[in-house]
This record gives sequence, structure tokens and C-alpha cells, in this order.
Amino acid sequence: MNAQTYHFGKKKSASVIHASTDDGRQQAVGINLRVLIVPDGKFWYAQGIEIDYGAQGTSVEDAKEHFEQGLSGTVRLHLQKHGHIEKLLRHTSGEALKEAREFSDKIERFVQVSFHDIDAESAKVFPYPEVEYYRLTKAA
Amino acid sequence: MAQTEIAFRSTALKALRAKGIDFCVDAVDSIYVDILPAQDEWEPMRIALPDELSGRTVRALWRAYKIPIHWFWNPLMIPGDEDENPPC
Repeated sequence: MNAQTYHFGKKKSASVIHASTDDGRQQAVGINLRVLIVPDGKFWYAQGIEIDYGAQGTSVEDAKEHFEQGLSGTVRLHLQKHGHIEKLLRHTSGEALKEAREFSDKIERFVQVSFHDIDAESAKVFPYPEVEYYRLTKAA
Repeated sequence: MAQTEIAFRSTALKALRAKGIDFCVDAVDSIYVDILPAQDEWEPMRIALPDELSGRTVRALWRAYKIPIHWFWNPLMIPGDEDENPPC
């Protein structure tokens, strides 16, 4: 089995492990990143900080589910198109970072497990299969 | 975008078609759309698109695929007709 580790984001605060079997038929990606959850009109929005990916929902839990399902699917699409996920590792724009700094005293921390098409063998190489969530508790 | 303004999924899908970007709708959970651009300049993305889109979702589509934000408030400006949305 092959495994590639990526450290990215400012201060290398996020990381990804991409593992694949020798024949390339089975691939798995474990992502560790921070997500800021903010009110967005009548919705909630989960915005990746180290990866520019986001998802809305009608509740915090809804936004988190859409984020995890959507990011997992996006990883799959990148693997299908490129065979790797390097083009997904793009830092988000300044909007989420500005909010995170501005409301740093009002954020809450969440931890959630997120697996990405992991088979029993490749799961062994993932020491951190979780997404850390930060929720903005008050609207701007 | 003001918080009282509402954008719609149908507008986003029409805009993708107008930009020549392929997509398909998840056959099991139709809230998810797989955006599958053939052009090298765009990257694929699976995104949750409910009937009503938040301002940040609209801006994410702008960042990812340069879909003009004003299209969401003036859908009649989007070229092309309504078509069926293919399932994944």
C-alpha cells in the first residue's frame, strides 16, 4: 500500500493522508482540518479554513452533514479526475479567516470523525480521522 | 448579499448549463449535485444545493466557477432554456 501525507494551510495547521493499494483500485483519504460554522441569513454555513470548501444547512448539524458528505464526494471526484487530491488543497479566501479572527472569543470547538471510502487495511494509516469544527455563536 | 435575499437551486443549475459545465444530481439524495467540468480550468465538486441557497453558497459558486452573482437576482439574464437535470 502507498501513502502520501500532505501538510498545508498557514502554519501547516491541516493535513491529509492519501492512501492507495498497490494496484490503485482502492483509495482512501483522511482529512484533518478546521471548519468555521457561521450563521448565513436564515441558514448555517460550514466553511473550511484550510480548504476552500463549504456547505450550507438549515441547522448546525445539517451544515456539518452537508460539509462532510460534500467534501467526501469532492475528494472522490478529484481522485476520479486526477488520481490525487492536490488540487483540492487550496486555502480558503479571506472571508472565513477574517470572521475567525474577529470572533475568536465566541467560537466553540467540535470534533467529528470523517472517513473517506476507507477499507479495513488502509484505515490503519490514519491517526487523525476527524474534522474539527468551530462555530460562530453570534451573527456579525 | 443581504440576508433577506434568496437565491434558488434552479438558477444555479441553469447557470452551470449556461457556462457549459456538466453536472449530475445524486439519484439517492437529490440535494447533492456533482459538478463535473470537462474544462481544465475548473475543478469537480460535490455540493449540497437545497431549493434555497444561502449567500455564502452563491459566493462559493462564484469563486469555483465564476458564475456571476447578479444572475441569481436576474435569472432571465442567463442564456439557455430549462433542461432536465441528469441523475448521477
